[in-house]
Amino acid sequence: MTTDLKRSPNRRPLQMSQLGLHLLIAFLLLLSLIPTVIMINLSFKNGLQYRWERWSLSLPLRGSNYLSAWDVIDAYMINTVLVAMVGLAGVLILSLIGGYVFARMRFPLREPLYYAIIALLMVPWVLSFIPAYMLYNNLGLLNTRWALIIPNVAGGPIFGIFLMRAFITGIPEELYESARCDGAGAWSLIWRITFPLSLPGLATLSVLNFVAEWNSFLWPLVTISDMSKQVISVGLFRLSRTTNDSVDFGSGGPLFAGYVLASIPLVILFIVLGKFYVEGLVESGIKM
Amino acid sequence: MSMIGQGLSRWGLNSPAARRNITGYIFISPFILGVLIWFLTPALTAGWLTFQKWNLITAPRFVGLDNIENLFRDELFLQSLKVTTVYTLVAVPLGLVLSFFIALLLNTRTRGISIYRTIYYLPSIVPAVASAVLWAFILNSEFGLLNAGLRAIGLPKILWLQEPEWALPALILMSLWGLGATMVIYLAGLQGIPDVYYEAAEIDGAGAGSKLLHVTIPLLSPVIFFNLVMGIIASFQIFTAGYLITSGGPQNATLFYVLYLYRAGFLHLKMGYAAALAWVLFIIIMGLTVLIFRYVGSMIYYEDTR
Repeated sequence: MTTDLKRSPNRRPLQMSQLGLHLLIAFLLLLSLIPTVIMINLSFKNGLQYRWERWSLSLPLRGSNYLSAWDVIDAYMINTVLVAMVGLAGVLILSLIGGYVFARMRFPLREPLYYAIIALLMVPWVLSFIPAYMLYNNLGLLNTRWALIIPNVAGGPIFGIFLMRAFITGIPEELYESARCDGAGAWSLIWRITFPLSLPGLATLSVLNFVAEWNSFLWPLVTISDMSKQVISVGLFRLSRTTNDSVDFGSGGPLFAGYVLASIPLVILFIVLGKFYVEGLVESGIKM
Repeated sequence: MSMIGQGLSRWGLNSPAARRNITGYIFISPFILGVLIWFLTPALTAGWLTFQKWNLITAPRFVGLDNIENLFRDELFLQSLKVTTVYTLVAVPLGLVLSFFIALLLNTRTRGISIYRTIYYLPSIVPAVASAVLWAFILNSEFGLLNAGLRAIGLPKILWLQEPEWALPALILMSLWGLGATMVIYLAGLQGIPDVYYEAAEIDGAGAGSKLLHVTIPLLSPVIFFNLVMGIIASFQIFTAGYLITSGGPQNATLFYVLYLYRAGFLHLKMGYAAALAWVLFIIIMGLTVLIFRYVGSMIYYEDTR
């Protein structure tokens, strides 16, 4: 931060161009906030307000929309958190180990193998979509949570290894040297040295993976028919397609309250991990 | 571990070098196995399915190249390819430039940057399904906010989601609210540029424009390249917006490739045909990536070549 101040020592208070810059940033911030603000505004409306005062702020705010929404989506939220967390744990472990293997270990055909894995990033997921559906069907995994966890654990580390390898390459070799002199094996090099130093990289991976899981839509839509095991994306989708008599979802307020509720875990995740998330991106120095 | 050691010595692989070699493979094998079983085998099976006719109910029947021949006679296939290509050609460059620009703006301020970052990230955090419904509202021709805004400044209303020529631009406009992730990646790249480069440029009398051109962009080119490649790969697989907001319409103006593939497979139960579509998509993405790596990759400046 100090260096940044040094960069422009002749900064005059409120230069015209500076003022313009601030206005531009404020304008863009406002613009980017519009959908979020609309969503929150709609979430507090009752049926009449929703019908006649859709875009303006209208009082009184109907907070009970959130209770109605939670009653319907709580199971979806819990399911998604569960499935995403278990999957994420697998992704993090495999990516950390894989990243270490390709950044630090030497073995024949390491580079070709690494590039083969990175090339998988180009394979569209729809390529495996239909046969994978049949595979899960034949193994009796359709309509189980495994159908949601396994694809993430299997596919997630492809990008994860790419990210973690870049990150782990940046860890000073001297740390490994001295640990090796103390007789540390590969396993303890991973868990005692690489893991604690890779936390920002793992945070980055966690945010990206969790957001992707939270938004995963088509796969759960086809593989999970039992709504009690369904995830939030499909839950919200069903919600917006059905008018539920008991909680007047047709009126929209509770529906948007549901959207707001469904966004909260990701907002919390980003606020908690945001700093590390960016740090991880900086230090991995993303390059292809 | 000792059991592994015994096994290794039995195979005559207990020399330190060989042991180290094997450890690498052992460590990576759970991942490799997972990818092979759950991802690559299905992908290759799709290759086999390409030559079959299969409706999920009766047994697959070999039909040779029928599926592939049918592709090029299928107007909807060509339409979906066109829609996806146009979307990619417009939305990806537009998004890259805009998010780069915003990242530059945010990088000039240090105080409160994490709050700005979060605010810009917010629209990308809202679940895609929610944001799709929300945008369907904003774009609605009768009660939508966008048309209300147009009316307020005296412009005629636009049938965003009913007119074939407006539907795709509307979805591209909407995609600009999902740039948070790309922007944060740029921002991270910008923060990774050491100040000494800027100081050196200033000593040489460089202005803001020439610093941008000769310091920022070259040093950031690997990040730009990364965003370009990932952006194109993701854009060719776009599905949710077309499915939820427009259902591919009006008049197939937003029939994205994966949406058409999904319909061929799960609506019309033409699994072989859908598999052929998937392979064509893979070939397109791979071809594009190879082209980008060859023609753009050479312009990328890498600080340390490993």
